[in-house]
Amino acid sequence: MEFMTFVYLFFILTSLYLTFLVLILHYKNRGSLREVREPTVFPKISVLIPAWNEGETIGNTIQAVLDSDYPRDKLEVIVVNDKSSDNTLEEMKKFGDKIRVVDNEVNLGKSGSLNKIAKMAKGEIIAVVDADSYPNKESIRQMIAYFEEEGVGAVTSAILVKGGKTRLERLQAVEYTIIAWNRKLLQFIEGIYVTPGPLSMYRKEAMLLDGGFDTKNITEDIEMTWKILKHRYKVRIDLNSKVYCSSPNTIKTWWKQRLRWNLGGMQTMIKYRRLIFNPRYGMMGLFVVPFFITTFFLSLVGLGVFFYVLLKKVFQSYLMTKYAYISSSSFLSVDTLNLNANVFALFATLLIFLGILYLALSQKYVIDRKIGVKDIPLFALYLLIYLSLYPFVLVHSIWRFLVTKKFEW
Amino acid sequence: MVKAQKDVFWKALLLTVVVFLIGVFFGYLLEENRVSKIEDNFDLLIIDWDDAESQSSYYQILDEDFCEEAVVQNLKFGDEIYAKGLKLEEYEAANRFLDRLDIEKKKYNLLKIKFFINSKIIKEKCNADYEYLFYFYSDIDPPTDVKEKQRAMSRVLMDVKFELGDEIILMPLAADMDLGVVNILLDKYGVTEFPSIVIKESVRLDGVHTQEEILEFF
Repeated sequence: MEFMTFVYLFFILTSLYLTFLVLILHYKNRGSLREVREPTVFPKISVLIPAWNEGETIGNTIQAVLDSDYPRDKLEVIVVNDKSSDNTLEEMKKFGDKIRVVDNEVNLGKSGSLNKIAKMAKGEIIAVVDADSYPNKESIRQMIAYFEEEGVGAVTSAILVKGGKTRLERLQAVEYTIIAWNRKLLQFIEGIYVTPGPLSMYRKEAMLLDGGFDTKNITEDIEMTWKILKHRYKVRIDLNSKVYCSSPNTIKTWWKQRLRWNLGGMQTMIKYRRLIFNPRYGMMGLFVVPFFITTFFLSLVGLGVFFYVLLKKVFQSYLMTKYAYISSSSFLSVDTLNLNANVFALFATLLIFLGILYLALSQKYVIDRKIGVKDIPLFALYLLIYLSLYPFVLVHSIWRFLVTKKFEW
Repeated sequence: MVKAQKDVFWKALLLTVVVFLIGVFFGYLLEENRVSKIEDNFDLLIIDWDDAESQSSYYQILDEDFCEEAVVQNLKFGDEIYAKGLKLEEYEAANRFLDRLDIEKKKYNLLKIKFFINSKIIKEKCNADYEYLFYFYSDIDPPTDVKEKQRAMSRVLMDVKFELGDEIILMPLAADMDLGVVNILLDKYGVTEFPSIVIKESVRLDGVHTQEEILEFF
């Protein structure tokens, strides 16, 4: 048996394991994925909205938060203008005394701004909302109910794409739905490893541990979650609480965003690397860190294999063309197509089927959408093209990580 | 209060192992099925060979007037053996576990040699006008460059065969299967690199050539 056959079988085995892990979690917990929890107590919440040059969106974000059905007297909204050069501050001031506006004299960055206003916050629960995100009115109320569970330090929501006019936005809409569903399933193994910026809530005491948000990390939301997990707090997600956020609508901005996510992920991975397989940190040490590191390396190996196969094919095609030209024979013939099935064809069929099932379940359980034949082109694009971009961004990220001294948004 | 459901890790592992083994088993079964198909085809080919050889003996010993029929039957068998050879290559390329079909290939090469000897006897006896076109190629893991040269030459030779029909007998032979009789032919024609063709048992052309270059010799 060839060496590459072993490599392919290893990747098939890994893909099957991760897919079955998610599907078993789904099957076991399908009845409680959309469970609605109503709070019995209404603690004071401080909603923090940091903004830098968000003049176009900040007004709608603040309005969406103010429209929340959470008791108004229990809701404090603090917005911070992080030295914007546009009309962000003016937009904030339009809300008068309904909100508290902080105007930074120097740019502190998102983490720095959040740390600054978190200290002013009076709430025992801190909600962080990105300045281009729009929570549903019931989101804050439903999420707060999760804090009644003992040991919960953070609760996040289902992040969904606002709009979806371009193909790229529609692909991200599919992706975000899958991420939300996966995140809910990871909750059942205490494996939620990020509470994203669009809408997440933290117990103040947990959030302020170790100095609050890490100002050196460019994905403060990932780092914050790992820190909370490290301190043995639990992290939850409420799929009924939805927040809609703007998503990149060009490949260039999408790539930049993913680059940042990866770079921040790597910063976090390195910071918490010593927790790997350490049972003292619970599932953080036994699952989150090993899972992150393993998938990171598997992506790299996968990309290496991909390039090896691709370059081999390119070299073969070059030689084939060259000799076909020299011999004046046809470049392609029917004998080039080998349609005999083998073990890879069997597993590929199975994985495609499981992939479609995966997509269908996420769409159904997060946004109540039944997929049909009309969705095939979009899903095919997602499974075959969009996902295959991930490893390329990863390689770019590693390169940037190695050559960049200081990371910025 | 939600408790981490750690049991899912083992359940997923168990399910993965079961599904993986079932997949591997079916994959193996597919390949076994292909190999047994080749073996069955080979058995049929042997019967056809025995038939062709018996016919040729009959014509040689008992009935010299039937030369024309002997030549036709011989050429028909030549085409059959060639088609089976292509199928063998195709099946081998699809296999992942049983990726080498060495024994079948050796048997197949030997049968081709037997066919060559028999057709040579008929040619002399009946004064037939077909010629031989030997094609020597490397089969066991050749370098990419050689592989692609061979792929190009296979197509050229198929075109030559199509062009000349029964005027030639195309004899593709795997040169590196450690078969004594093939080694004798390699020595005889001085073949040291692949691909190499020998036209009319006298002219050797190494490497890649056009259809026109080959047809010039006929």
